[in-house]
Amino acid sequence: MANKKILIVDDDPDVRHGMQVRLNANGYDTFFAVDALSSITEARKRNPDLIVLDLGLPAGDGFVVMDRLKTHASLAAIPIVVISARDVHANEGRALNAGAKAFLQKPVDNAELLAVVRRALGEPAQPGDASTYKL
Amino acid sequence: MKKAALQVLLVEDNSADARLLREMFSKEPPGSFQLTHLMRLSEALTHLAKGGVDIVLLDMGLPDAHGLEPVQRALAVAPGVPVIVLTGMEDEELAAQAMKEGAQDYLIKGQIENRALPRALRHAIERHRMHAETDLIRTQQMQFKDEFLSHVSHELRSPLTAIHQFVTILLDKLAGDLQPKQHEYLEIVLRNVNQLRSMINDLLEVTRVQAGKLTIEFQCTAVADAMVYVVDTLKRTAAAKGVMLSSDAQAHLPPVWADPTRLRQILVILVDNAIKFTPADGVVKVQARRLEEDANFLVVEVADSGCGIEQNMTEQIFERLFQASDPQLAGRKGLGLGLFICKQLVTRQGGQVRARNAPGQGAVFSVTLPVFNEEISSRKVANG
Repeated sequence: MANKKILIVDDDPDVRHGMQVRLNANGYDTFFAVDALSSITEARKRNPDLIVLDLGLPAGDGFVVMDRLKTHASLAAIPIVVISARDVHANEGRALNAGAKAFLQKPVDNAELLAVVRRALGEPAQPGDASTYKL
Repeated sequence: MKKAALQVLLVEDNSADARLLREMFSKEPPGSFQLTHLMRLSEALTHLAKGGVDIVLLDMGLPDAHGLEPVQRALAVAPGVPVIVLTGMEDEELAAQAMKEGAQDYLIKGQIENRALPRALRHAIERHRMHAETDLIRTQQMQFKDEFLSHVSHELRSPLTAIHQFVTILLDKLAGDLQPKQHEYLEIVLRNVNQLRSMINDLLEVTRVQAGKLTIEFQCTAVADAMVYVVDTLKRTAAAKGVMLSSDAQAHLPPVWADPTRLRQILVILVDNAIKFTPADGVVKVQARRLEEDANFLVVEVADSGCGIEQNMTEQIFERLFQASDPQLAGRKGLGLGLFICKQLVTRQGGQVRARNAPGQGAVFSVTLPVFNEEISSRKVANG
């Protein structure tokens, strides 16, 4: 079976890279977008199984991306996990209301990230995939 | 340019005193002052509420209010209008108190010179304007500081995220095997990353507390769940220091009325603090029970076998930026914000947090929280 595809949307290249290494190591294929516009075009082109979405993006934030995705019939159903440096109290509820499966605060605990990704993809949790290095 | 006349409200029930002041004003150039004279505080308050008054000359003994009351009520109705109190010679003490309440100046009846009156009025108005300006600047500075802190802590998180990602990638051997020394040193990096992360969180939290933006979402909450969470979260930290961490909740404890996230946060602060001040082979215990003195409260205690709290410091340690005077005891200094945040969180949830020294050795931090019942839930919801 082919690996599931995850679109990583983040304007920070190092954070994208770190996310890529972690997700690849756990059997996911990854590709990137760096802003609101490219995240829509990448999503249309590659049809990901899941989107990991940063909120603070240049030219239209993560909320804009979520709104746009909803207007495309083929993209509206893609599960989204929001990962942001923004204040959890002010943004978690808003992100979940906008349709995100989860809100994770940066820096993200790896075990939590993988658990959330698996849940959003409808996969069973795997005991072996957690990093032993908890935040 | 012709200046508009200053609108002066004179509140004075003694007609002789009033007449004297009127005469003084009449000697001023026409169009410089416009005097309105009222006898009772109630009338004056109605007049002030309408606006348009530049300054109030207020007698401290009126038929319907006297002493500090006229000043307090006038300032409550029109905080933007400067007040000069009028007082008798024997009441100078009271007049001084009126100034503490916010009056700009006082004039002693019978001792007001012609030329001094307009000057006192103009000075009072100018002084008042300067105060208002200073207050505005201070508010703006506070706001700027809050925005700055919030912005900085947000921006600090991105590089910290990348560091955390790659250190854990190395530690999880996703980039190949590690030599024992490499592993050990990366653990040190990770520990420091986590310290930095919690400092950034504290900084943000304090900004929220001070801006009055701390959100508490009350619900029926099990204390035992929060205790399990905190032990789970901090057992590695404790183990790394050789400290034994355990928790013990009394059986059949009722739920409390609190925000579960905030309750976890409170316990993490206290347990983390306890571990910090407890030497190797020490013990940190989290316990919960009904409060003996008042069955409407539960008490959660975090007890350690550390160095205890310095004499007379059991209150101060909850102040913002407080730090242990001997940093040797706690290892590296923190920001001194943890216990301050903890106290705000507990108080906002209707409880109290206290610290004391244990009879033998170590310190005990106790947090009380209200037990959940139908009545409390409706009350708190109504209050927002």
